[in-house]
Amino acid sequence: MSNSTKPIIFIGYSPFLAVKSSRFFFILLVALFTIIATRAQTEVKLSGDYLNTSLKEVILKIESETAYQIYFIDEWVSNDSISVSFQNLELVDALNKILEETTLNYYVKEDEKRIFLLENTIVYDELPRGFFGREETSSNPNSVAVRTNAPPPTFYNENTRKTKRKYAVARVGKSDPNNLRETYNLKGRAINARTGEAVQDLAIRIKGSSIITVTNESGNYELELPAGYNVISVRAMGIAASEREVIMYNDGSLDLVLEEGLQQLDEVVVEADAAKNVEEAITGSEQIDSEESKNIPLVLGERDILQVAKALPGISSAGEGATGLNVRGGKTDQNLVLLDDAVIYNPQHFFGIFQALNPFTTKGVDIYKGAIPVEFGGRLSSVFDIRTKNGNVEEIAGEGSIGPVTGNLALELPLKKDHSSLVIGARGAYADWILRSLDDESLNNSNASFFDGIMKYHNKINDNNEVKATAYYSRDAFSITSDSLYNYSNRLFSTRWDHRFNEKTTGALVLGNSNYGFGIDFDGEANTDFNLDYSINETELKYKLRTILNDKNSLDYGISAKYYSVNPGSIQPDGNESNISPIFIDDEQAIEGALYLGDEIKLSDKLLVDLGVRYAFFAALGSGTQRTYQDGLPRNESTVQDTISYGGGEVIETYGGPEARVSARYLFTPDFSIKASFNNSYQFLHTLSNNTTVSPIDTWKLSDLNIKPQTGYQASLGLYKNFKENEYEVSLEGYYKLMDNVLDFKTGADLFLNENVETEVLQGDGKAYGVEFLLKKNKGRLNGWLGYTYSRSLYRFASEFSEERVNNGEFFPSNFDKPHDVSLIANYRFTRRYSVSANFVYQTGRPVTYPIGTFRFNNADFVAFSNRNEFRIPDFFRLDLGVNIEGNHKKQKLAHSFVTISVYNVLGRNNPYSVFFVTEDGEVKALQSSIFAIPIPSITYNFKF
Amino acid sequence: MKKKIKWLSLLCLSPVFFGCVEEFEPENITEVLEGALVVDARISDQNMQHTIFLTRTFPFEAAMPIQESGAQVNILDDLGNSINFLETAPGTYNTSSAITLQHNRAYTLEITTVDGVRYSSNAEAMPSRVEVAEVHAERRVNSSETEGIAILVDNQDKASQPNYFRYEYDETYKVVAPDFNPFTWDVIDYDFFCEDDDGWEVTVAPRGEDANICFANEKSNDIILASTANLTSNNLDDYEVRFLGTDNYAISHRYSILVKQYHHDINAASFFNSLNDFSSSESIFSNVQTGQLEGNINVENSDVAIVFGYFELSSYSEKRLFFNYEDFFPNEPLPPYIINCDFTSGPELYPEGFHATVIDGKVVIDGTSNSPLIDGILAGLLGYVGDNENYLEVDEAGEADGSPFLTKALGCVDCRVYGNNTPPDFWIEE
Repeated sequence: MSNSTKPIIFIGYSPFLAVKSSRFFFILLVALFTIIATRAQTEVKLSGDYLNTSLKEVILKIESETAYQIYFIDEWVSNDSISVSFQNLELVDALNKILEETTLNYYVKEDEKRIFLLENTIVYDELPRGFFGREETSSNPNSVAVRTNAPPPTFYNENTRKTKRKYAVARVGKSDPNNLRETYNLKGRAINARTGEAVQDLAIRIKGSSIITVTNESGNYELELPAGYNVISVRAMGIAASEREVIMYNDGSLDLVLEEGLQQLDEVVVEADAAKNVEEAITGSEQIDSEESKNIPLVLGERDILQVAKALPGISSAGEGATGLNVRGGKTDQNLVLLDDAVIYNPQHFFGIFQALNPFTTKGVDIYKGAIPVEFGGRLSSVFDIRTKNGNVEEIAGEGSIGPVTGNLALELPLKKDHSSLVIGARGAYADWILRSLDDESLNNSNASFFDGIMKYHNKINDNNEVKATAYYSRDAFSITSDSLYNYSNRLFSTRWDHRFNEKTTGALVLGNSNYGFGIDFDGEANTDFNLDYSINETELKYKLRTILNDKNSLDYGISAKYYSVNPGSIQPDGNESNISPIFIDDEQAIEGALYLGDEIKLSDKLLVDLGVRYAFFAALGSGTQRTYQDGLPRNESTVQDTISYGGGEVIETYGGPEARVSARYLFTPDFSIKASFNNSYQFLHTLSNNTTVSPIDTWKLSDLNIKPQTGYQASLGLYKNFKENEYEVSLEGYYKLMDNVLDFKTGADLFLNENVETEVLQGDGKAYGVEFLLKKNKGRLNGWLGYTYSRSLYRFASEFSEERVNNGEFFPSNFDKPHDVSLIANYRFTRRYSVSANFVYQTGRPVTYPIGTFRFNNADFVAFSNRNEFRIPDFFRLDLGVNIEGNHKKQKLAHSFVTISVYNVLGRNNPYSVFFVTEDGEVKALQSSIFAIPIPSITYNFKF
Repeated sequence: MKKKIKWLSLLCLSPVFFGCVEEFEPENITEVLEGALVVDARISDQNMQHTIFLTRTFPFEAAMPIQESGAQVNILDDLGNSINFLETAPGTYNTSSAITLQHNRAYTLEITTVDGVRYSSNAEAMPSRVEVAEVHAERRVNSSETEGIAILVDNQDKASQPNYFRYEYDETYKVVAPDFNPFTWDVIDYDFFCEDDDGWEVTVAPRGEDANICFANEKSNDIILASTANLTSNNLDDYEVRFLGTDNYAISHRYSILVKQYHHDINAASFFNSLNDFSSSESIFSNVQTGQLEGNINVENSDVAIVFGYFELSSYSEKRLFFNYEDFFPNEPLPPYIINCDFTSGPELYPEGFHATVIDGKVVIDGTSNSPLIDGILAGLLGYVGDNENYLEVDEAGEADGSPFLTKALGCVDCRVYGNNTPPDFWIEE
């Protein structure tokens, strides 16, 4: 065979085989055997200036100005509009310029004055080496050397692949004959077809190879693919597994639009990506999906992710009806609860019985109880990162429910198709009838109601920009006696702009404002009417960035600043006849800032290390007054040394320091890993409560001259193993935690509206440790989880002064120290429509302070109490059962319905919530109270359209 | 401070929504605390014989504390002088004579019990004197919508630091027996075999003592605390020490109250406050942080001994007030008497079915039959109001009336049930 007249092998594929364009088909067939590879040379100089002109128009113009005929398929050129300008260019250069931004190549057949446009591919004007045997190998060594990088031509015959693939074969990149490589870079974003949301942690694998990658939190991925034809398979929880055919011509991008995996809907699953629990570096993280928690029977049929969270190891509360969560032995004020990036101070309604989040607009929550990601800070124990759904960008959708206590409606309204949408949710309670129907007369006049509303706007402007905004308001009002009305409310607003700077760097700018307040209106018959108000307001600006530096390093870095303003409370007389003297306590102000940098380092396939450092800073600001106390004496009224006044904006005191966030993961096998982490943190605000439970009248207090920030240190170590292709997950995690300057209160402390709270609080240290075991079954008819936790939570207030000491300065168990905690959540699906579920909880009774005798003083008898928390109330256990009935699966119907029938506390166990003692007629009586002493049945009707 | 506590306690009024509150028997954990020492040492600046009480904590079932005997008790001042207290009765320790503690001098209480454990208090200063300026009464409606008389106290002080007060009162009022009778029980013969052999017998005779008008006395038993901490001036105005509703008999005729004011320091105030909190009711909405109530007395030489109580120093001031019912409620009906006196009864001398038989020459009363009349008189329950005119008459059913007298509850007839029939020394009429 002669070197000068090599036959051209033209490799085509689907478009021209599929499209019955006879003219083009014919021409190409002819070309296949006759075209000779020569670079077109022409004397014609071309000029042009096009602005947003269709490619076709430009091509036709070129055709008209030259002697060449240009061949193409309309489809290739009809959609693109280009802006290009060139002066005195040769035809080839002009074409290069015009087609630069497209996926089109061209081939010039000089002798016939014809130009063929080609999609993606190029014309191989010589056969691959060895095409006709290997005898020529040695005869053309130079050629061999040049071509080593070239990928083999891609042969693809559509007719031989008659599978029912939904997706067309994706072609990526434009072949560049000058830059042929063996692998090309493919990147893109995975998107949920229904919600338009990014699919994160999607595993993308190249069939027949070991190449695998996972999408990041904004759904982006990037991987190197062999040139030519590849099949990639994608898998993630909640996403239907699918395969895509991709032909790589050059570097390029491909967005994966994915269907949801319908089989997920019936399952009770704490959502996790197939092997995320094993693979990620951080310890102690959990994820709860609101939708998937719907089968878990909860009190009064209310879906509640915070209650579900309590069924996970390491998360508990002081008891039924206790607001607030205790995470790994931490106090209730040590949790950072975020709703769409803004802090929500009290995410619960009705003394913690219901969540203050609309279950239909809530996507889910990520809980970090061990290694807290470097971007979060300001609380010692945990982060609850709650996210609202992005609205449906295709069509109007809605969801609603009617239960015995609440009614709920959520709507998703698309604003601009495929781009923007609005989610609106509203929920209200009508619990009054329950109170009225109770036998207890004292409750007949009481009422309790709550409301929460949320609105979220979401706009995916383009691949690089996405804007979200959330507004939220919740309010509880209840009166227990006829003359007093209590209320508390949360208000928050957040906006977030996600921006992708380039393939490597993404950023998010977040502005949030949160307000929490409570009030008491007392309107009795006497002259003591008053209104009381407390509020805390914070505004945060946060800018966070993520840069994928290279294969090994991903950086997370950012800065945040917060401004607090606290109105600690005021009392004002209500009406002219009130004799109450107004009380005002100075407002408190402070700023809190943080600067952080984290690096996720992939040292090897097995070893992943996450190193982070965060600098936290806090400054308490004037105006205000602060007292100083004599050194070496207990703080009380008689040891006051001085009172200092500060002007507006003047710095009262600063605190801060570096925080470490370190974690590491080592994979023994792809589904078995060991992880370890260490972190420390600062917390600059505290709740003041002399109650053992958090009540709505708990106030938040900022650190100041006398109250130091709390600090915490936690180390954890865990083993994670998945079985049967991630059907079962098992983990065993241990932690040890130390806390300094934790607040507790002197006995009988009076904290409310006290200007000198520092004389009532104690700052001591705490330690907590535990082992958490979790077995999860994610798939199948029977699914759910079993968790067991052994944990201790101990505090110590040691001082040389007896009034600042508790239990002789020795460690004593906290109110929520419950060493044994077993949770079982199980769901069994009989058919697609029917399933039953159960929820069982067993916990050691919480510690209490018992009266242990009587003492006589001042001619009266009083109760002598034991050491603090020396005894325990009886153990707690409860079983809830539920039956879930999905509506029929007919296509034509107004709405899809879902009915939950549940019985809370089936065993009718009278779980004591607290024990207390009253002195009546000079006699001491012991009383125990329980919240739900009887089985509580309920039916909730949910609908979705 | 008092007001704040009230507001918080609003929360206490509510039982639980779906749950229940029930009484239960706590496990007997009294042994945990093998009788901690309780020190009740409230010493004022009055010139008097002062007393300190020492007891031990006691189980719920027990009625009385165990007195702590044999301890050495003394108070040291900051100059090293010692005041000894001697045990005059079990658990009661007195100074040997009247003494006066000095203002603005610091004192320390020291106790050594027989088991060798030493206890000592923090050094406490004797607070300065704040006089009760005025005690007056006012007719008003109180916070629980009851009409009545409020006893209000005022005082004034120029000190810059807020003052803390504890109040006690001692009230005395006139009791007039509504069914007074000049006759009363005389002979009560409860021996069936008296020499006269006439069986049981009750007679009446004119009274020797006056039982018409008496003077009842009651002392406060709750902790009454006030402070000027939340006030703009250091003057206490119209602080309500006592409220008497219009249904309280005490104000029916003439009423007198001695208001005792103890000016103590904030630490003492906070101790008494906690003491008060601990004995109030609570619910899930308001759990006071309970625990061992730390006073100002410490154990010096033991790891296991526990001490409760307080060494309180206070300056004392008192004022007495008198008023009549008509001063505030002219021509209005009187409050009801202490007990209901509408009911007149006639207990029988012999119970129904009384029967005696002679066995072996002895008369034996069957069963456990006792005389309702004589039993009632002996128990101090019955007062004489008149003779029964129908005594021993046979009614239509053929039954003889067995009640010799008409009676009422003793308190209706004899005011000495409620007080003393001689006016106290301080009593002034009009």
